[in-house]
Amino acid sequence: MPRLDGTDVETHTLGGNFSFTGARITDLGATEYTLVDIEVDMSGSVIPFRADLIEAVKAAVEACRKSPRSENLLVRVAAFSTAYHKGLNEVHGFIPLSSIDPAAYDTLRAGGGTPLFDACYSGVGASNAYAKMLYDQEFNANAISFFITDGEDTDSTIRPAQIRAEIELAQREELLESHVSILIGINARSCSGALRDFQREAGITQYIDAGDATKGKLAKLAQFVSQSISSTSQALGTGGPSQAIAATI
Amino acid sequence: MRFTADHAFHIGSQHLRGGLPCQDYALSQANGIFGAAVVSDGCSSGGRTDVGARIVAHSTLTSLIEAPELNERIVDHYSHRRDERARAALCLRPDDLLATCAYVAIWGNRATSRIVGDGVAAGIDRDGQLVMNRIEWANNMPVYRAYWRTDEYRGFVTAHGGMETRAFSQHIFAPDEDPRELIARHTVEDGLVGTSIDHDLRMFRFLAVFSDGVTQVDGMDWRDVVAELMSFKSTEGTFVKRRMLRFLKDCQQHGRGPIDDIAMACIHIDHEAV
Repeated sequence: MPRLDGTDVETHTLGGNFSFTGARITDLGATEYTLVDIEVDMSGSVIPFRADLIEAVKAAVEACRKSPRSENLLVRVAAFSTAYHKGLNEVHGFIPLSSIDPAAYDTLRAGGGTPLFDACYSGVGASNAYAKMLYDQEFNANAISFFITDGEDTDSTIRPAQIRAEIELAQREELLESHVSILIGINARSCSGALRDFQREAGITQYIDAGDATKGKLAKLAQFVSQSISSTSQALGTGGPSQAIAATI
Repeated sequence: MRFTADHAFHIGSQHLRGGLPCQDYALSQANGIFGAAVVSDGCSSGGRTDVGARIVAHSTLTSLIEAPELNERIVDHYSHRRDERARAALCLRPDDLLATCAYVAIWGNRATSRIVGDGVAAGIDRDGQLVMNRIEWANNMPVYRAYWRTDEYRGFVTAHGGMETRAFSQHIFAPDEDPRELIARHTVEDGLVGTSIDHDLRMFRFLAVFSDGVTQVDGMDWRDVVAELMSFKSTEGTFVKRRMLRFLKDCQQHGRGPIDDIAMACIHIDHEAV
């Protein structure tokens, strides 16, 4: 598939005044896709390990290129921080791996507060909305979402119950064969209790504490993300989510 | 003008339950000036006709590429020779090659559908009207091109009661015309070498061929099956596979599905593309 230019991507609006982009559905050629959404924290507290965190996201996306299912992945990466307009900065919407320019991730700057709930809501909402478009055009799809944060929410307009409603909507309407959502705490030991509470309240599938933000732990985080994506994509068509995803990194 | 082509096939419930392989097969190919879509249906009471159907489809597609001017007799002849060479190379028996062949091919401004055996050819014109053409043989005993090599059709003709027996019928179904369905019955001799249908390429957006599996979908009329399988939502990449998969999923939700194996192949003609 050719690298997408601006004309091959469409913008869509979501509830809560959010929006997202995705490859034009009529240009997609496979029978099925796994939607991958990665929301990464770029609040001020991330500054000390920003470069390593970006490298981890790049490594995770790069590793997906080696997957036998690489042509069936559509990946969206967004950063969240109150320094961004509406708290979110979509680096790229749901596009094929072949269209992703990894250098785009280097442009992310850290600073500001943590609109974690908004990021989770827009990530799940984007997957649901894009899945509906795929479904209407007869594509089969499942999804996996990662929310990587180093702290609790500080500045969101959305409440956890709204995230739960969005997750339950996808299950009820069966637009996605499965949707796994994973909240990952990095350098977040001090607030892991609050993040676990949020995970349960919002109906997010799993919370994982990735430990300290060391190079080694971030490399393992990248490996975990790419393996989870691969496993989810391989499960597409089976009706289930995937083989069990490891609870630790 | 631009051509895109795709194909799909799926095992029917009878073969699935019986632990047998899918004996239908399909292939397609398209470029700027050429498009071909082929289906083949192996005979259930033949030998290893799952392999035979694949050979027949590949032979036909290769012959169409080699002789794209679409002289159907030359294509048949080349295909036949390829079938036999493959059969000999793989040490297969003659009854392993008992498989029908239906194709639609486009070369330049010419489009032709051809059915040797049974199956359906269908087209959607530029106004969205669907026209279907079904070829059927009495007693579910279609002609196979392998018969020519085996005994020059003698056994087949005898099984149908002679050359003059009206064992071969053509159903032409055009929902917006009067009569909606025209059924013509022909002799064995008329159907022996296959049936060709020329299409005015300027008129059509989609041209497709189907195995006779479309006539054996539980609880559905074959015309509804063809109409549903031709209801494409998009035309990029694997557009036929997407349609077939959604059709099967919808069938499953209503407790239905194909009893026999089912195959289709289709060419999309984009008249607006530069």
